[in-house]
Order: sequence, then C-alpha cells, then structure tokens
Amino acid sequence: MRNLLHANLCRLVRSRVFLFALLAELAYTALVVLVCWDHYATGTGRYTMESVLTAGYGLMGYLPVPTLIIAPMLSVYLGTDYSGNTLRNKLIVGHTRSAVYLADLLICVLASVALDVLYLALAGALCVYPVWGMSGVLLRVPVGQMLAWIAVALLARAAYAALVKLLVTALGNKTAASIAALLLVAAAALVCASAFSEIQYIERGLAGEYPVENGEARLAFWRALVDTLPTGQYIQVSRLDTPHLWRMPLLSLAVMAAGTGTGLAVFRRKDLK
Amino acid sequence: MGGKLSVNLLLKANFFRLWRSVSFWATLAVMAAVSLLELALTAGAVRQGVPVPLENRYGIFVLVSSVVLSAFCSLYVGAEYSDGAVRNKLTVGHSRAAVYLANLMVCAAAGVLACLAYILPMLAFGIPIMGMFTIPLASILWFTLCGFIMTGAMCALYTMIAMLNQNKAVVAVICIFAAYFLLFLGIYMNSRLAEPLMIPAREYVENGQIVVQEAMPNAGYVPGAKRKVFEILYDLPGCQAVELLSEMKACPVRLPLVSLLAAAFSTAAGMAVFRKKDLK
Repeated sequence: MRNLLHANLCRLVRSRVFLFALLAELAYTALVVLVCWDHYATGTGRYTMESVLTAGYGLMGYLPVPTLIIAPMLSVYLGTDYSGNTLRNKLIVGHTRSAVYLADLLICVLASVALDVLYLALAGALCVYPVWGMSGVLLRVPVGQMLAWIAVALLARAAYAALVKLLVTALGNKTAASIAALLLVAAAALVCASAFSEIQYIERGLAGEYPVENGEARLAFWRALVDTLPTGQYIQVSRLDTPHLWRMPLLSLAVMAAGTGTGLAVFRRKDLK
Repeated sequence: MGGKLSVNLLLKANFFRLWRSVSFWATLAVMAAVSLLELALTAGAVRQGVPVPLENRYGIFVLVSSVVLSAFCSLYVGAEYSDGAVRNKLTVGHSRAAVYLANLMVCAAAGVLACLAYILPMLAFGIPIMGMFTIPLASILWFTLCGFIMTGAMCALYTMIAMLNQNKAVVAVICIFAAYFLLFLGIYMNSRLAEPLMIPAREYVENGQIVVQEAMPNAGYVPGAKRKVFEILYDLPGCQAVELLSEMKACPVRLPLVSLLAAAFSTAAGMAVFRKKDLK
C-alpha cells in the first residue's frame, strides 16, 4: 500500500493535469484577491474574511469554480491508469484490487484538499489587509464557526473525490469520465440552485405568507438533498448559511463510505482486459 | 464539381455515423431530460398558483445547448482521430477543407437537433401546463432562429478545438470549460451592464428617524471604453445566450450577425491550421 501511495503521489506531482489544475487554482485565487483589493480601493465592499475564505468553495454562492477545476484533474489522472494499462501492471506485481483502489482514492483526496488549502492560505494571507481596511474587523462570526465551515467543506471535498473515483471506476475511460464529472458538477449546481429557491419558497409559505401543500415533508426533502450533495454543502458554506451544520460532516462520511463501498464492489468485478 | 461531390460523400458518411453515435443520442436524451425537469418544476409552481409564462422556460435551451454540445462535439470529432478515420478520408482523396467542413456541418446539424430535443417536449407539455406564449409568436420564432445560429457558432468553435487537437480527453475538457467560461462571462456581463448610472433618491427609517438619501452616482456603473469592451464581450456566442434570454421580446439583429462572424472566423482559422497539421 505504501509503495502504491508513493508511486501514485509521484505520478500526480509529475502529471501535466495536476500542473494545469494548480495553475487554474492559482488563477482563481488571484481573481478573488484582485476583486477584494479592487473593492477596497473603490470603497465598494464591506465584507470580512469569512466571505473571502468560503469563496474557495463557491463563487457568489452559486458557482462551485474550484470543483470545476478538481473534477477534470481527478478524472484525467485516474483515467490515465486505464489508458496506460498501469492498473493491470499493479495487479500483476501482486497488489490487491482493494489496495489499488484505496491508494488512488487517498491520493485524490489529498490532491483535492491540498488545492483547497492552497487557496485558503493564499487568499487568507493576501486579503487580510484590504478586508481590515474595508470593514475594520476581520471576522464577523466566531473563529470556531469559521473553522467548522472550513472543516465541513474539506470533508465534503473528500466525499466528492470518492464520488469521482467511483465514476471513473464505473466508466473506465478518461474522456467519458472527464465529461461526466464536468457535466455532473454543473447539473449538481443547477439542482442545488433549484433546491435553494424551493426551500425559500416553502419556508415563506410555512411562515404564513401563502398556503403550501406538504410543506414540512417537502422542506425536509430539499434540505436533505442539499446537505447530502457535496456541491450543496460547498454552496451552503460559501453562502455562510448552514442551518444543519452538525449533520453535514456525518452525511459527507456516509457519502464517502457508500461511494467507496460501491466503487470497491465494482472494481473487484471489473474486467480489466 | 469534384470538390462538391467529395463533401457530399463525406456528409453522407458523417450523418451515417451520427445516427449510430451513442454520444448523439445521449445529447438528445440530456436535452429532453432537462426540458422535462423544467416542466416538472414548473408544474409544481403552477399547481401552487404561481403563474409561469411559457417563454421563461422555452428559452432555456440556449443556455443548456452550448454546454451539452461541447461534450458531444469533442466526442464525435475526437472519435475520427482515435479511430484513424481522418487519415483514411485523406488517403482516399478527400481534401482537408472538405473533411473539416463536413464535420462542422454535421456538428451544427446535431446542435439544431439537440435544441429541438428540448423545444418539442417543452411545447408539447408546456402549452397545456402554462398556456400559450405571452409575447408575439414572431418574437419567439426570431429568438429561436437566433438561438440556432448561436448554437451553430458554438459548434464551429468546438469543431475547431476538436480538429486541432488529437487528444479526446483534453479536447472535451477544453470545450466544456470554454462553454462554462462563456456562459458565466455572459451572466457577469449582464449583471455589470445592468447597473444603473445613478442610484435614485430614497427615504428610509433609521433609529425611528426618516432619513432622505439624495440620488447619487452608482459606483458599480461601468462607464466609457470599459463599457464598450463589456458590450462587445456580451455579444460573443455563448455569452449572448444570456442576452438573447433577457431580450427575448426583440432580439437585436446584431446578435446572429456576430454569431455568423464568429463562426466564419473560427472556421477559417481552424481550416488554416488543419491544412498544415501533422496527422501522424
């Protein structure tokens, strides 16, 4: 297992796809930092560090931009194992299928979380001055709350990596996996946008503004959906609005376990030709 | 005469491959599924007594088609390289320009069919649910034509990317990113250009006192040359999907013209590079 991890890590660091993802993440970070400095210079912003840091999960509370960077990186990296026949070689030299799968998954989690941490460190360091200048305060929420948001989002990222690994295992093709991963990010973002507008509508109905049918049940369904989907969790964190923060890490762990269990079952039976 | 015959043969072969292509049918299925999903969500709102005009849901195909077709074009054209079909076509005597144009025409045709896969279920089930359009039918037809032309221009862009790179996965990622980028750029441009020049005067209550705020210049307004640049970007195919939707009642004539210009430019550039490309 350790050999596999080492080999995978070396391949990842040397791969062009990781380099492109790193550059894209740096470009996104630079964009957020520049916008922050521009708001400070023109006096058009009044936000604090929690808005800057959580923009690493979704821009303007809608667009999960870093997920769009991570999705092709993981699918191309994992898919190369299939097209380069390295999977077969790993099995021939005596590694078990479970070890191969879990080593891939661990590297994917590591790479995705590393890109997030890079954003947090750079954006955090470079935006302290303009945020202080704009608002006179760095955080409007307790530090514990901020750390909880970051931890929840990083765990959701790990769950997302597990889902991409499952997708690549099921499709077994670099191109198909990249396309599916990228389109699913957009689909998940659209579903979440619809879910948030439904939640808002039902909540106003339940507050007595207008009648709603089965309001409680429908609200529970849409809430469960956005709390379960990793994209839903990122968007909630980037909106700084997490009514069920306590259950989000539990759901991420459940998604990870279900994704990994299913992926392992598929991979054990997969014909690698 | 020979050149024309060559393109016809290529078109026949490409359409033959299109009807048997899984990615083509998957594209149509996704477009139809999005249409049905929109209808399901709208039906719920209509049942609750919220009126939804049909045109609000009808126009969404211009947003979805660019993204879905980015995947289709990269798979369809990319398959020509991975199967060695491009080289075979050249070997039997077709010109590079004919190969390029035949692929472009088939991708554009698939683009229009993908739009129809969204439109037809929307009309079939949307009219009974939401009623007829609340804007003139002529506006809807003109909007649809503008949407088709923009879709064709996006297909020209994707075809250019796919014909110039032999790595299917890389092409797919670049095309999908291009589609997302142009779409999000359009949304951003729409919000920036919608900023008013002045914030109107208003009255509000603060600490029990009525405060009167005079009209003042809006810091968010985009002025001068920067506004011109934003307007040009907003007209680009992909970006203009947002503009088409927001000006559905009377889509400006310049939008299809810009699309046609962009399609001509990307095709000319793509063909020029493809002529010199080493196909190994």
